Amino acid sequence: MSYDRVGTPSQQLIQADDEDLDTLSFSHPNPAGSSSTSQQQSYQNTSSSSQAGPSNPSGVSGRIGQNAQQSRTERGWGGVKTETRYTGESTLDEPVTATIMRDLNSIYAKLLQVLYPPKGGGNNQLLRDWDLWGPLVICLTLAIILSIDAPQEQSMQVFSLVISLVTIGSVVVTINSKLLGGKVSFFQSLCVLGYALAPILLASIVSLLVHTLFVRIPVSLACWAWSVWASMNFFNGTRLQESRTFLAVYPMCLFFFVFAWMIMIQ
Amino acid sequence: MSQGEYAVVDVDDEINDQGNGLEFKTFLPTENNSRRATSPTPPEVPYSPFNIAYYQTYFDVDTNTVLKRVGMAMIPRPGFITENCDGQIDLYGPFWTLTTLILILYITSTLISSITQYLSTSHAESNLPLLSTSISLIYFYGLGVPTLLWGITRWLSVGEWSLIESLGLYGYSMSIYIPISLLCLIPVGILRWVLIFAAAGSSGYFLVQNIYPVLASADNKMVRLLIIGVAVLHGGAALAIKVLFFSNSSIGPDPIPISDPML
Repeated sequence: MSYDRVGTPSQQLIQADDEDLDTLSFSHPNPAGSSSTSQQQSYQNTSSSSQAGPSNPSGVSGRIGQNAQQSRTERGWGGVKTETRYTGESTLDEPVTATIMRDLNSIYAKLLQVLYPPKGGGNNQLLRDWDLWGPLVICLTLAIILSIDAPQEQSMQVFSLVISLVTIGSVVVTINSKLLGGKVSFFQSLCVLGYALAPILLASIVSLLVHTLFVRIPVSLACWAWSVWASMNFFNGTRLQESRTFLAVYPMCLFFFVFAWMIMIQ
Repeated sequence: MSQGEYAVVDVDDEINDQGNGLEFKTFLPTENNSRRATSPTPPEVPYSPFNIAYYQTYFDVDTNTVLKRVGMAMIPRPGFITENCDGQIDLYGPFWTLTTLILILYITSTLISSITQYLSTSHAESNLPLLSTSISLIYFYGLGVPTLLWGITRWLSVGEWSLIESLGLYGYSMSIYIPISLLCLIPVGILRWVLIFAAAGSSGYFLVQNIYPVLASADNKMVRLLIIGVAVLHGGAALAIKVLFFSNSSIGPDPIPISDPML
């Protein structure tokens, strides 16, 4: 719908891209002061890269997950966004291990970015490049570990319950923050929530190995706090009003607490 | 394809921000107008279940507003929507009240049963089915019943209220169960009955006080009998909560009321 209004395609699209970048930055130190400069910067970045992208592909080199300076262009065709990327070298005749390792590295980099964001904002580009592979792996591993931990006759039930809770819960939390007026891309938020489940996974592994109650409870609570903190870091960048922040954070606390409680009570 | 849709929403927002003249701002004044009316329907946004902007009007609340409404809903008084919600009820409070209640019921009931097992040192069993039970019971009662009630009043073409109001009333009325469930951790069988009965009475009175004026506005006197159905269903829900989640002391031997090491 919005693309219908676009007058000169390249100009407008770059603006949308820039806005996206700004909106989705997960940690914004002082939005009032630095937003204009960072906007300017990213504006220049995106415009330069999109100029270099399609016409001169060999000018920019980079890899997914390793270098944020990869060339990419986005354009809209009748409301559908298409994206072209060039990673710097031909991926057709590289070994399969290189392909898999690149994806795994990208998952690892995003995990690090979500759970332990470097000081001063870090690399926003990394999270714009959302994927759902990492969340899928984390969700499946969590479900498998919890179902191993559960009594024999209930393991299937636990498995399906965890899978559906993760999927439905993260969708509901995302929609909730969108409804409250937060500006966040749907799938990126799903991606971040999925990666933020990783501390809970850690807690479940610990409690699989150590069955003492006095270890499980502090570990799960600490991992719960870590998960909430990690996802809050991201959602701080969604420009919610100050008075509504709690309303967006509270469902996230509930979402992570279900799993923490499951680990504690098993 | 769906990503394309959401990306479009983002771009829309951005245009709103920069251009200062736009959809979100244009329907805000109309929303203020409809706030004074009894049935809030934002006329500017076209009705579509897939339009996220349509639902945003029902999530236009602040933290303090929601906390105040949840608190006021625990006190059974008539005129909840007109007095406490300024004529427009939100959906955030009801939905997350129900979800919190589900989680609290699951937590307290698993805690109770694991304490009982810990005391009697019997074989431990997982209580995960309780989570699915609480999800289906609470969402069915908190979302299904008000929808049904609204549908019946619509079908009989009585009562000027929207589906949102009916959902909101039911959702907020369940908020009293949250502190009560925490109190039900005290392992005294008779006390739990008293607490649940008090909670059911309070929230039932709240529901009746707020729904009866809607039904009473009908010409047909028989419609008022619907309030009996509301009360009976409410009692049933309270009984189900008691039996499903807090029945451990009544089935097994009553554990001695001791101070809890796990709390």
